[in-house]
Amino acid sequence: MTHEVIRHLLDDYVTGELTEDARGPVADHIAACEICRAEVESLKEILARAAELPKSIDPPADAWLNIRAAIERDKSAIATEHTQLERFWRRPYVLAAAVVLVAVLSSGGTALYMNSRDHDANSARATATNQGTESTPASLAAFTIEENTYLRNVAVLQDVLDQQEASLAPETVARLKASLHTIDEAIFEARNALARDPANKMLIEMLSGTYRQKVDLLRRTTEMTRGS
Amino acid sequence: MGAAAILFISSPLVAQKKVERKIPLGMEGALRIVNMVGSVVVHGWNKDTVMVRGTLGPGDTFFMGGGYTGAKMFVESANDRDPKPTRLEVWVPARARVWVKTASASIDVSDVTGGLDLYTVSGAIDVTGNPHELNAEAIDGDIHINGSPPWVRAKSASGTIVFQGASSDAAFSTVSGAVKVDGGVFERTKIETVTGNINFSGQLDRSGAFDFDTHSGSIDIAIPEKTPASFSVATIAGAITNTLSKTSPIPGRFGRGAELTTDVSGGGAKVSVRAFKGQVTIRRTK
Amino acid sequence: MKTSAVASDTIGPLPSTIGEEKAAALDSIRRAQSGDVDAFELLYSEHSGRIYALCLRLKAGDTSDATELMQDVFVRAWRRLSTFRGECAFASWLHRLAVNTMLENARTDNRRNARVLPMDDTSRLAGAARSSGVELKMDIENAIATLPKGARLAFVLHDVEGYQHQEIAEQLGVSVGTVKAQLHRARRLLRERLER
Repeated sequence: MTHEVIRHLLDDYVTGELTEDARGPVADHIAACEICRAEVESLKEILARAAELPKSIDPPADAWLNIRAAIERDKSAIATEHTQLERFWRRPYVLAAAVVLVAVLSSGGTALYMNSRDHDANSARATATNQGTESTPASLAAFTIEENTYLRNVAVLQDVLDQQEASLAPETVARLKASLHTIDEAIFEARNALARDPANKMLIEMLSGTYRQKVDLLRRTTEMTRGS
Repeated sequence: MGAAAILFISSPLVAQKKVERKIPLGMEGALRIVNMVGSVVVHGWNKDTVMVRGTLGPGDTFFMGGGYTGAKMFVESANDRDPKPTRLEVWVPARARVWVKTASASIDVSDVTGGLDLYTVSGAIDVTGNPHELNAEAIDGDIHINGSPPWVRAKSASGTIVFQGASSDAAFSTVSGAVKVDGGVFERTKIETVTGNINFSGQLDRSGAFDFDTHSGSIDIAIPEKTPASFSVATIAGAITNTLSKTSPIPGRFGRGAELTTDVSGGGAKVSVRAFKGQVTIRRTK
Repeated sequence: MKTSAVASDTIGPLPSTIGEEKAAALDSIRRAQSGDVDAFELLYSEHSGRIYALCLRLKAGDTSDATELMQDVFVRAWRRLSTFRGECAFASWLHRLAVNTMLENARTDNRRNARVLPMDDTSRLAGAARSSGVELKMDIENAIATLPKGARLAFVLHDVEGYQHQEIAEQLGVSVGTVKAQLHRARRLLRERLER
């Protein structure tokens, strides 16, 4: 191997990535060549200094406050979710339906919900905190948490989608909005039916399935449009 | 007008750059293809090489790289706001795992027996052959599968899903798109829509489980004669038509909806149908 | 990524066994996953220094860009916490997220170009280097900040952070050959600039 060739192998030599066969000849050459020797020395020095750089540097003190504020905004989406949803989709009837559902469940529908057949891992219920499946009237709180988890997932995802909307073609945005609207109408109908027939286990399962489809659609869309 | 049109077609204003590359890829290697606009056509072959031939949109750049176990190719657009179509045709080792992502580019895959992960926003997805695993997702693209992947998941929101083949574990989901299954033997199938119509015609493995869920789409299930199956059908506000057995649906509460539980040919495959409203029909294949 | 323990500049109470430390970390993660922001703050305290250092170098020493990026990373980490399943160390997961976030932000944000720190403006990095207490290191930090973007990313990820060529290639969406070429270029340029 000539000097010209070996010059290009010096990096690999220093980082120990050369093959067995090459190491010998390269080492021999370095011993005899001042230029290469100097280059190897300075490479070693740069790598040594790079490795010694502080791995941790204190960020500005107010950074956490900004992060916390953003997180709290996400969380408060539950309490003020109609602001988030309306901003993009203008569906005040969703909030009304949520109120209906909570009222319905406080009259005893919770037990049925908690015992109903599990759906697959994508279910909003599966992402909720791990509450016990034993049902008591007090577990209305548990159900409300699950419902809120669903609403939070939806709000967060819609927020993300908000930002990515510009990267979608207008026809696609229109069809996506139409699909989400279709799902919301189905949710609304099912909730109204549940209000009239709170003991209907099948209705609760159907409702849960439709929620899941909505979260799934939002999640898929945000992932797809995120960028390759 | 006619002459002017011909002139335009025969002398494009911008020459389109052609691409032809090859790299080695192990027979079961992984390949990632990203092309937002235009088309992606993939063929499985029995060489441990990836070959790609394409025509780039004006100003687009093509990248390809990777090693024997995994390779990647993608197209970078000159102008993200107005991407021009790039057509890619790719040959991959048949047993490879292929992952494709597009925005509106269509995806066409044939003869791949490895794994397929296909994602598009509005392109059409077309798969022919028997991939071991197939996951196809679109937002408003149509998905057409002609083959028998043992494991398949297909999702579209407003696009339709058409499946012609057999599968042991299939799940199809849409919002408003229709789902049409016309095929062989199924073991585990889950089909759900919100408003899309579901048409299923196939054979049910007697130990299988089949779930059909919709809010307001119609559901039409057709099975061959002498298929042992146990049906559990319920609708809140829709109607049920049963020509498979003599059992009549029981009217639901409040004067709406109906429920039907019936065994056919002694019972067997568990079929569960849930519809909020809309028409549910269970019948024999013609 | 290097798996050897890295001495952090911030020293907290040391657990008596590695098992305890792991259990405590997993507990914070789990609590944060169920919505406990205070638990997430603990994770932030533990990992922010490391992530900030990475962001600072990826952003060529610009503290406001680096801070914004770091904040972005942690907000994303919060949102995606449920996808962390312990298949790797939390620090690695966070680290990868930081690189991905930087790349995605760069793609969507065409107003801001990678700013090259002028050679005579050492003020931005002075604060960072001071926390390590050694004047000598200021040179190489500044020099890294002056590297062109591709070379800088390759150098920071490989020679500072310890990623392998293949990992870097995957994250940046380029070939291993490109990574090596950028590394080679980075080291040559650094050598020139440090020898002035």
